[in-house]
Amino acid sequence: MTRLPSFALLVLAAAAGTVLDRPRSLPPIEIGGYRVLAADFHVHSGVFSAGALAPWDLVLEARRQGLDVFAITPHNQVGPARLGRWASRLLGGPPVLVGEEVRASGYHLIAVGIERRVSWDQPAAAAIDDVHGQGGVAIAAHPVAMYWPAWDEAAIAKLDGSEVVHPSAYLRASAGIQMARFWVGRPLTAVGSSDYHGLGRLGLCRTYVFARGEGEAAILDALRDRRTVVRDRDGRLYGRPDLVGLAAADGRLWAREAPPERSGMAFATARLAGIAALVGFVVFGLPSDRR
Amino acid sequence: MPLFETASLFLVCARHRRLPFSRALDLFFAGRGVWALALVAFGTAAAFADPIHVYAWGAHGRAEIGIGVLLVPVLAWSAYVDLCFFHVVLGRRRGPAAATLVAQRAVAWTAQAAYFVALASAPYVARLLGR
Repeated sequence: MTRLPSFALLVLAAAAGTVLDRPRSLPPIEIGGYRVLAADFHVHSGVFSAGALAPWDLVLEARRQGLDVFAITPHNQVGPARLGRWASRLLGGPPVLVGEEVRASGYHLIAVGIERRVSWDQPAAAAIDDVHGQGGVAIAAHPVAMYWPAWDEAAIAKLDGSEVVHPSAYLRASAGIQMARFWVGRPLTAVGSSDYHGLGRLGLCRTYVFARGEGEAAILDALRDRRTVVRDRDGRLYGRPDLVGLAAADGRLWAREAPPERSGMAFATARLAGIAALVGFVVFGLPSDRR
Repeated sequence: MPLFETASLFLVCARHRRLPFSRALDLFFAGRGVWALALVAFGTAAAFADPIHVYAWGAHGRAEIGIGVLLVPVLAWSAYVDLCFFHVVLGRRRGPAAATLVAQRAVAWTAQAAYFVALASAPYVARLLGR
């Protein structure tokens, strides 16, 4: 009897959450003849990659956060990313790019658009060669000052892009300054990534990709050609100057970036009902507990 | 983590014949309600906090220390529940029950720590070894 209210609350919370928190259906944005996609290229999943959500849950969460495409980038492996790509095709998107965060002792490198694992046990330049050999794109992950020694001239000359907006910049201003210094003055694609592990929000920092056409190849081409725009929380824009101008003049991207309102009374009630149900299950137990 | 917990319980209860291991395991995990409540509390805070602050919980040293301090009462409470398990359910006297608790946690937590540290530290170990 004591378990009945918990079940009722859980059903109520699930129903209310499902109705109130449906993913937004966003039509593609076209600016200046480009198809502009909201992307997050640095996401971790829950299978051996220090993330909280399973690859298939990431697909649903990316859809919920209004991302058009994202890359799953497990630490030093690609298995969970391939699983995510399979799930994405099964669930109807958003598309998942297979990636890896090459986590070496001196540098962290995001590889996007690969199929095989890139070894961390090699210098950055050699790892980038491996990424390019697979047709992928190489992005310096959160390149704050402590990683600079590993980014020698040979490696930087081969890099395609670098993360210039990352949540760590919001925790330490110096991190944001260092990532910007790494990017400024170099022919690198500007990338904004959430480095999502389960805390915070997927797509918290994102990259707007100016693609010509559809599909993974168009996205990777745009990354190689520096066709991106990134915006930080203070409204600073990074990217190719002509595209920054286009995006700033258009303005639709930023309106779309704002997450849907999830702080109303109905949302709070649904969440509290779910929390109360979970506490009820812990306190009063599940049916299988009573033997 | 449940697999490590199960294996460690098996090791410390292997010679215990008072009740079947499957039943002992059920009762042992029933005592994990304290951790479940802590997770619900954590999830509640995450559901209502600013995503930037939530991100910091896993990426900022001071926040991690704060969470560690908040976990002290959870650790103490769960230790008491497990002590009761070894004392009441398995029928051991308080001293041996406490020793069993220490042994079980030492085995389970060492294995879990080794698992996560091994996953994260391979590149750094390689650098230390000069590779």
